[in-house]
Amino acid sequence: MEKDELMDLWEKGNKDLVEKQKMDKDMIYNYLNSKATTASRYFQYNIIFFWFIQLINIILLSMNFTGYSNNPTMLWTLAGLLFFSVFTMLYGIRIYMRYQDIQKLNNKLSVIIEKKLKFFRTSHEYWLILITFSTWILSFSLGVLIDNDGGKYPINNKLMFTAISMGMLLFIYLTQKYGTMIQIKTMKATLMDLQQGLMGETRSLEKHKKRFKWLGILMTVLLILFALYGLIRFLNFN
Amino acid sequence: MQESRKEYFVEMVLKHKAIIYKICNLYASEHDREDLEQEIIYQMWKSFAGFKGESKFQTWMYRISLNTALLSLRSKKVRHSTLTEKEIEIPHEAPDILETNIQELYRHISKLDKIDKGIIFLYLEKCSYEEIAGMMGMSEKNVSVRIVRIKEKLRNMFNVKNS
Repeated sequence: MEKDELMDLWEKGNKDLVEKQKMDKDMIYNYLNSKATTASRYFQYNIIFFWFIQLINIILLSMNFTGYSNNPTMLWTLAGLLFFSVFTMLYGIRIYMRYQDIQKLNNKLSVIIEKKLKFFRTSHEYWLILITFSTWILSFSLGVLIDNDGGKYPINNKLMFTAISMGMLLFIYLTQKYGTMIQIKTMKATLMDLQQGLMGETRSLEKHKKRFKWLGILMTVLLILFALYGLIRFLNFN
Repeated sequence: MQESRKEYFVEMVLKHKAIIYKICNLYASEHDREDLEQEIIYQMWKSFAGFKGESKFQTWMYRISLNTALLSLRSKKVRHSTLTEKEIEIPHEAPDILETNIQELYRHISKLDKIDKGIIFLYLEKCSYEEIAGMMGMSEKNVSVRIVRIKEKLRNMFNVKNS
């Protein structure tokens, strides 16, 4: 490759800079013992958190088996939910391993991004659906445990029960989805920049990020309002 | 075995520490530079098991360091905008033309798109088009077109500054 003025400046100019660099063996050893980045830690904690939710679900559902031993409909429902929770728990282990795998950077940039995008579009998407339902299962199994009416679980207003459950599922799914939305959009934009040789995708994304920020604030406010409403109802009930 | 491998890794990182240093100067602000440095070394160590020695350690280091900087999820911390004079670690004992120019070059490169930043960095480090294409996952033709465009952009930036 022909040497040009920029290359020349880069080479000569950096000489002094590099010599002044403060990096020694101890520093590197310290870095090697450090933990993963904030973002990957967040995802790992998320998996571990929901893994424990499955564990709680399994315990609660098992406790309900005794309480509803004379109710075949409830027994079948509980068995189905128990199977679902065990499956989600095992899937959690799989997705944890898959996530570790896509964290490896020993490949072409475009290949790494494609792998990550595939992960978020498939495995992670299934995980989101599973944890959405498992959160609903947690609330349901607690409800049936508390409201056990001599082996029966009375639902006074079926329409309301369905509507609240649907709303809850949608809300949990969207909240979880929001957490990865910016990450996915950023990766898509970078991949497009790489593949098409066009610039500007990553720049136009900056505008979208602002919108996502507002969406995040809105969802947080909604979550707080829901929590407050629940708390007030709980306090009034007692 | 693990310890001797670790020792070899540390020796090699020290030998080529300039790569990390330059990438951090391009992709991180003054406050986040140490974080990015740490993240690069951590990611390199994690990927080191996959380093079979088919490529040069230096080439492998370019790949991991750049991938880390480009894919860093700490998007708020990784800069895609302009670095100020204060943010570039330039020794100030004897300011001369060379020092001012390299400072300018860093500042202009930092204004580029993050992919372009990576491409021009590799070019300035004398990587071949084939190597750059291999690391970024682009075609060689695309790389050459973009390098011409980036160099033109940088020259214009210098000219605007000088005029």
